[in-house]
Amino acid sequence: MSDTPVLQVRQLTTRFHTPHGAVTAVDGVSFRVGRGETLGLVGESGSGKSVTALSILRLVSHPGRIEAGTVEMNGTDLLRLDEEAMRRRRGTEVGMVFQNPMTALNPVYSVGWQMREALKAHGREQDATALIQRALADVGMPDPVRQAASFPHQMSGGMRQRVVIAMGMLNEPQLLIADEPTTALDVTIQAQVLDLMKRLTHDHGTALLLITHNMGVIAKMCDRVAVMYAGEIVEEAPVDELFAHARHPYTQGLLRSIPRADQPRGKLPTLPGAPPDMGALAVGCRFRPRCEFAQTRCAAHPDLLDAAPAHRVRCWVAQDAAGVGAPGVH
Amino acid sequence: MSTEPGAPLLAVDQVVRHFKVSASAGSPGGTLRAVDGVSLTLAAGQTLGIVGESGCGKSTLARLVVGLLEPTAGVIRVRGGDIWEPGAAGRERRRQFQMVFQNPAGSMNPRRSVGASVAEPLQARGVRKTDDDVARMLELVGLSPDMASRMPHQISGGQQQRASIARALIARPALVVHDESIASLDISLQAQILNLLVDLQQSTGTAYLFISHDLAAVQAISHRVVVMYLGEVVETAPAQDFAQRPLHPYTIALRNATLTPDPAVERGRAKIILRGDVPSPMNPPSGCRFRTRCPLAAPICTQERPALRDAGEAHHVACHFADAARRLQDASAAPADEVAAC
Repeated sequence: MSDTPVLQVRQLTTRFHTPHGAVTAVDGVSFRVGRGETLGLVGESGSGKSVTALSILRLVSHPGRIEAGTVEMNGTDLLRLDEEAMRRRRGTEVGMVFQNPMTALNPVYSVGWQMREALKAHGREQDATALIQRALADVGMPDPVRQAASFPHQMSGGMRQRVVIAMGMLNEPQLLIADEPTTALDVTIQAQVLDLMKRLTHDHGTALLLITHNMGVIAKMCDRVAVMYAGEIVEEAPVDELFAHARHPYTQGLLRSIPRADQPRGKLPTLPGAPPDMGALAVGCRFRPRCEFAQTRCAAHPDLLDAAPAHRVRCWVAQDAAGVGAPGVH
Repeated sequence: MSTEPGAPLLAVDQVVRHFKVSASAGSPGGTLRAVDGVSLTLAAGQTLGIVGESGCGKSTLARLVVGLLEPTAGVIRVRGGDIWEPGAAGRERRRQFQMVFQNPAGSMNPRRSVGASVAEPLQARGVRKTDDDVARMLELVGLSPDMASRMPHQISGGQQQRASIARALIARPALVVHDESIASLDISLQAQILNLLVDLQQSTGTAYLFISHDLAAVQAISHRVVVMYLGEVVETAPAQDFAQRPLHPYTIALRNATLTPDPAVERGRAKIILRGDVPSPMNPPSGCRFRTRCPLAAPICTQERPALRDAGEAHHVACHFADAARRLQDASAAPADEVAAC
């Protein structure tokens, strides 16, 4: 892993201007993804994880707007490129895989035709047939020649998602962004697809930004994890560190409340309350209304600070315990 | 009433439900065997969990149990009485169960207040004054009684699901069928609702048929677990024994594919990756239906359909190999080394 990251996001802020007022879906988010690294972005609905992905790809649609920050890929700020330059980078530098393969595939064209379009868009149509067949074989499609001629509706959900992954990897991007890639699949098929993504990104040295609500997927796939809550990153750490020594009360509560297949019947420890209403956030720490450790100083907004090497946390109490942060500042 | 005093609350006996599928572009049509000879029983006040992937017939089974669908063959009994007995007796039995669906927004009338929706099962029984019952019920599921006057779109998804649970319980049914009732909720809310269901069962004595694709959630709430595959029961056991001693290769693979929020466990796990997809229930494989994906498949599996056999401790399994668990472990040992190298 070299020093310059593939992706460096700084202070990214995306707002939606709705008739009921502005909602800041992504609020000053910063993180990096190293070469060949897998970073997990985890959070519940409304935490801003998907809008973060769309903002990186500059696919946020009206009434959403990227209002601040930089998104550097190999040192170039994507937010400053013109639309044509950005279009050329999607697919070649950064590939994408979304949750529902049926919305990513065109129902009226064969899979092979669509993959050929993706190659053509980047001027690689000469060896298209061979490239397509190799890409389909790579994702474990049994008969690539026949599969290239079939239409999305003739395939199962797992097969379609393999096609979408093959398309995402077709132009050999350095970074693949996958937003809930296996959420719509059955667990035995999820296991197949995750194994496939792990093998492909490993073999091609592709970095992966994996967005999911599923802590099990994170545990299986990621090198590092960033936990999002109410539009902000509240904790970030290497995967083993996060699961063994979570420091933010939200991460701790979330991990405890997940039923596990290796545990018998019984009541679960729960996080009280519901995910926040993004239109009416608490002042100060946004997790405060649900936090069992909340104190008066939590009325001030905490920063994301290093609590241990490579372990950042946005919580006054956790920062105090680690002996970082200055009381009363900010 | 022809109910028998010693009979279980719910007895599903060799129930079959087929659907006719007409021919269309790309498919020749035929018979879809959604549920194909399922038997199970559930005692009052208990939770029976049903786990399986898409196409296993679990949702069709839910609809059969509450009487929304009529079986093609077989009998469903409530306290010993057939729910499809002609006349008033059958009709009355079909009203004893309630259901909670996956999508709470879709199962509430968007133009009626939450309170009006919750009161509906009582009104269907001719009760006129329902306000006090609604307020009490909303409180029981952890909602403020003021919520009764709100419209469904004015409350959150978690609150809507609590209201659906209140509606299911208000007429004091003996059984509530949950069909993926926590699947659309955020993780922190799933744990809250699972706990709420356990508490409500203790205070009301309602039995649950809890249907889900999530093995961990089913295990957290059930007294007994049933695993379905392609319309059939492949394994059933008390929850404790099921967690410690899964016997069917499909159950073992399902457990293996259910991810644990623990990176050390995930890395150390022996891999059992099932080949391919679930075959179509229009044309299920001969013999054992799991054989096309089973790492242990042998010639006998093609020829002979394995019967559910007693494996002790009220544990039943439909597999030709009594030692499937050990065989799978041996089979997965080799590829696991290869993965550890990268």
